[in-house]
Amino acid sequence: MIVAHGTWIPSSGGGGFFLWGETGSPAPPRGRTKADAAPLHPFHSSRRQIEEEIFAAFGENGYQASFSRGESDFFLPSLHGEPVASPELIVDDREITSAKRLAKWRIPGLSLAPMTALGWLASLPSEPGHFDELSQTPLRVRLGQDVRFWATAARMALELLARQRFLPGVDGSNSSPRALWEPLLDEEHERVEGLASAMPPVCRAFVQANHKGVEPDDLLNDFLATSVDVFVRQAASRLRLRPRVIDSQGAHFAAALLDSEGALSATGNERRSLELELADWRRSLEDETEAPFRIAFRLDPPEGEGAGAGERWRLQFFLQAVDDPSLLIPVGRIWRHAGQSWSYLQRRMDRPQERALEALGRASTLFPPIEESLKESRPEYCDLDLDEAYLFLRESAFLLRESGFGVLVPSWWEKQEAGFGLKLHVAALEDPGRVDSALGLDALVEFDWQVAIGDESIDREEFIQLVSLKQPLVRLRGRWVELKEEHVAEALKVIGSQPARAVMSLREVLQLGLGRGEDGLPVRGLEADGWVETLLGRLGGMESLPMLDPPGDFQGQLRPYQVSGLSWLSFLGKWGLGACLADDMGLGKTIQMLAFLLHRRQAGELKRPFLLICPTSVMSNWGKEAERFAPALRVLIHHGLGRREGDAFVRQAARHDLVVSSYSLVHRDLKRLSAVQWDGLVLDEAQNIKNPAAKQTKSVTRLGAPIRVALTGTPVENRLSELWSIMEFLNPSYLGSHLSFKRRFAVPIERYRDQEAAEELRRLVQPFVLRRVKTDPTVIKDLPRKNEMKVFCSLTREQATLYEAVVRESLTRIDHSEGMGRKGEVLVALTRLKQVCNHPAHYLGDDSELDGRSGKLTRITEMLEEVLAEGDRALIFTQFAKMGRMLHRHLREALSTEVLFLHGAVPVRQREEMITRFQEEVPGPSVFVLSLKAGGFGLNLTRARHVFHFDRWWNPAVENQATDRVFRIGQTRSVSVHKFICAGTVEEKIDELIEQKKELAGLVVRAGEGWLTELSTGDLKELFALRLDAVQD
Amino acid sequence: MTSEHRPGDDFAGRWWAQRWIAVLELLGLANRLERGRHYAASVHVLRLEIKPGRIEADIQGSRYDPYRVTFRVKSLTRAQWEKALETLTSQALFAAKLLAGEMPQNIEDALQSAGLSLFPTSQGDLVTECSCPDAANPCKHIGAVHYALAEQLDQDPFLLFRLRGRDREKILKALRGRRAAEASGCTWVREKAPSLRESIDQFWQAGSSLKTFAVSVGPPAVSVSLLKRLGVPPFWKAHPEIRGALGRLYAKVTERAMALAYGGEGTRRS
Repeated sequence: MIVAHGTWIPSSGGGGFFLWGETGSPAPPRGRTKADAAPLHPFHSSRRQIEEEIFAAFGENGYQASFSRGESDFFLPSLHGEPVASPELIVDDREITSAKRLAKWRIPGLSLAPMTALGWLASLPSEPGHFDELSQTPLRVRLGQDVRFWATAARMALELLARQRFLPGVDGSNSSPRALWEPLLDEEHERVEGLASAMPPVCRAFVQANHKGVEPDDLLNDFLATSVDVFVRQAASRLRLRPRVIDSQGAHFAAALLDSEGALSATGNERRSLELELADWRRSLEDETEAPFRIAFRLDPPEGEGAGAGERWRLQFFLQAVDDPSLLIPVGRIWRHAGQSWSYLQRRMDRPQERALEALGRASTLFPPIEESLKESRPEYCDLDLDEAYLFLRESAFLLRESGFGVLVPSWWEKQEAGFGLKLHVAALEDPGRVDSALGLDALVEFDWQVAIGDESIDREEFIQLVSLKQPLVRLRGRWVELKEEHVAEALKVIGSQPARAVMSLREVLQLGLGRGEDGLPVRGLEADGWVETLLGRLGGMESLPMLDPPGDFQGQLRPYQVSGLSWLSFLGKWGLGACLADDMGLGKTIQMLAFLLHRRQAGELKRPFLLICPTSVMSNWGKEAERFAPALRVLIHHGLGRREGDAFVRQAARHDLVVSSYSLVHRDLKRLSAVQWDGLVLDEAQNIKNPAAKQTKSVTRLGAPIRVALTGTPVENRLSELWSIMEFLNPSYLGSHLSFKRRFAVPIERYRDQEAAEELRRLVQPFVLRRVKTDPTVIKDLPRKNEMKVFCSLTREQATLYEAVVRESLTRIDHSEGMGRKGEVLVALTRLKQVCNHPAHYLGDDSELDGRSGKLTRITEMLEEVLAEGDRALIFTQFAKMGRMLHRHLREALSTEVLFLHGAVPVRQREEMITRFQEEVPGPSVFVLSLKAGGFGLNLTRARHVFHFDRWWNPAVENQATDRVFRIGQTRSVSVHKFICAGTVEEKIDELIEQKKELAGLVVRAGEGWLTELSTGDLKELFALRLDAVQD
Repeated sequence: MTSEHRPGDDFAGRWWAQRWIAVLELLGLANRLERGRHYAASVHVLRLEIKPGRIEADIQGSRYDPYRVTFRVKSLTRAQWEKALETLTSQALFAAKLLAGEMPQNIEDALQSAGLSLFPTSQGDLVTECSCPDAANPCKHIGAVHYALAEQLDQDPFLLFRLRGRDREKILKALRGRRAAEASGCTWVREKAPSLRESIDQFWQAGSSLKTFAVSVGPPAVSVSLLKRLGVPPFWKAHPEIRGALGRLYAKVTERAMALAYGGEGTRRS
């Protein structure tokens, strides 16, 4: 794991961004260094690593990357002669007492040229959670907060550039003066100061040549100034704007602004006069007057009824009180006032006439039509023709306002929704009974367009008449409307090319009705008739769904929110629309899906089987849950070596209602699977198709079915690539191509927190995503405080082999022993089988690789990912300290997060510290592994909302004691308890026994696991036996 | 020149006015200003207007039409003003005197320690022009304006601030605002950031405001609005093609910044 760090280091030559990496393991020692040099940072990453894993992993900005290898000295908090790790680095046994000392370290890294730095930084995501989204970078790299800070600063620089907040300037601070482009921060001054105040101290911890410290705002300003200057020059180099003849100081200055260096070969006097002229020129940008009044302009449209051609608009001049803009005094009052100063409502103005004239003079340079009126001795207004009025509205009003004048324009101008656009009317083409649900969004509807002004439609002839005036502003029924040229052209195209009625797909209707549509003409309204109206109403949430009755053969009780989930699935299914059920983990997505299948079966709609694809780790769980809640369903688990092929498989599938297979098989068995006609396709843990380029994603999208459902517990709305992938599976091309989705939604939302884009996306996907969280008031009242569920996992092949070997060996031993010895052997056998179920390395005790060898471990990792994505905290109990240690190690790496681990040997003081951190620290550690009989300790861990029992005590009382840690005083929320069981093993059988004996629980509790030792060898053999169908292949 | 015979003794009484005259001496101009003293003392200065960064005066010379004298004084930059105001707030005495219309005596030392001066310190800070045919600079008209200016300064020390770019109202408002903010414990006054050693506990952490800092990269409401507002600067008056070139450059910068911000060559809908 590497944490990327970096900061802007100014220098007289222009500065650069120094990028370095921090790792958890010491770097190899390197050759001799100079005696007076600072010691090398012991945990730096190599420059190659930085280049390949940090820099190149992003860097798709289209600019030639320019960087050099270098090193820099930093002051870093240090302890025991080592720099202390940054919080992003996950390390063992972090020193809780913080470092109190700074020490100088030499760090190798890359120095990025300003343009390269700007591009690299701007390509970084803005939230930690989005790190792997846009860049698909391995989670091996985490970004330090220093890098995040500079990423924001880079975006600020881009904002200044895009908004054109920069001006020519001269840097005369050293002997060779330069022409340069300076950012103009007047309006952004406070924002930049605010940003500077958020700068992490490490950003300014580099050692400068002069050994002076640097202030955050100076550092940030240097970065912004350099970025702006370099960027503008580069843009200039593309345009070849350099004046051809350099015959004056002004031309020389312009040339220096436009070349790559900016060197000014001016004499001292020339330079000074240039500086003064520049300062003079720029002065008007500073709002220097503090007078109580300013000049304001009010544009009044002509009165009348016609379309407005040839009429005069009037621009009236006023004095406006700065502290009360509603106080407007016609400027004529001033002209009639003779005195040296003028007072009005306790506001005093000196030399009012001169000042007003001077201001009007200034305004006339910004809006030339004013000039004509100044030829009168007492100007009070000027009259404008339509084009001048339009220029005023489009541009000059803004310039005047920015220059400190008051501007009042008619209210219709500023109201977007009052403008002109299109209104869409949609009608059902066929009655709903005849609509083939397989068409989904491809179903066609009839529509016609009308031009609308505001929400009022106008007919085609009237519109063409208006347009033929070729005026930018027209008056229609007493209201003025802007007719943008490009919009008019588009509208003419639409109404010109359409026959009176035409058809479009339901997809387009939804895109128009819910989103803003692509560029172009705004849609002012959408009306629908018949079933389309009902459908749109229900999809848009304006109309509630009819609730279904829970299917009669469902074993158990559906909670009310689950019934509404069932009804929703059924509604979208009926229309052939893909549905994503994204309820929080623990709310019963599996149950809702099973109920949906039962419902279709009951209604006689389940003519062909459904195919469900899930991770291998949850296959057994699907089998188990179906058995328990929907025994009427014929379920086929399609996996393992014995799975059928070709026609045999097709025939086999046809005899079932639900075929369960895994993502890893989809690709391999694609031919087999696509030979079957499926009624529905369900993806469980649908985040598995988040990578559009992955084989399994491509294979899944090749399998078609009229009904498509995705189940996921991660909040997809916050993970945009994932959302796109899932929606593309559910409702193809609804969100556009991946590229256009990225440009339209992913980048604006993830990098710039664009609220508008986020809102539009939310509206678009809302009909197809149902997500309830445990805190929803409607859910919470249906939810028990303690929501217990069993998680059935499968053994890996390696586990199965080990398991069978242990069974064989143990049974032989048990058979050959008696009395206490036999009891002991039974308990040893039980322990070993549990270890094998946990993890091969747990049984073998060999410290080997952990990933991918245990069904339980894979499953808990997946589930914890969801817990973290939900922002919740989890406790994990295991009765084995060794397993606890392995979990601790594995989860920390796999989840890239801090994991606490409490076991019997942890001293009391440290234990208390862990508990306090888990309970109180923000953001703090979210995963806590405990391996102890927690009942004996006064632990209070109410922050956790998920409790995992990785292995079982076979003693409900002990498990309950552990679970109750989170139910101490203060726990008001519902808690999910997940009990892990390996399907087809002794774990499952004992679980069954306990369930059967529930009424005898008291007995079980007293006896612990002892009762098992009383069983006959025959019973034990049956108990231990492995059911092979529960093994992964 | 002896101390009894200092130019300006007659009217430029208070220290800041004298200081203005002293500046001229420092800049090596004093000798040529002797004649200006008489001009200033008589009624030859027809008009004297002090604007931010600029002084304009009309002087009645030997011809019928008055000569036009302009002084251009370098304004302090925004950052320099921030620093200056910080210094002025640092001592209650400064603000109190200023509010009473006095220029505090040791204000210069205080400003100097912040690397600033209210008075011009080099020839580059002050450029003078006169429309008279006299090739010498300073000519006697310029001299007269200097003395007239010293006289005005004597009465209103705030003119000095105005000359460096800020009005009396603005200074007093800023002073009041800063003092109020300091008194109430607000922190918007530019302060030095805590040293690295003091920051050791949050050494790697960004301030909480980073999370909510919103950036909006988009095209300007009106393209090239700064240049439109400012008009053509004097040094480019003779080169109409430069304004056009800069207009294209600004548009290009928007286009490229948007492309870099949103990835790819296409631009976002606006």
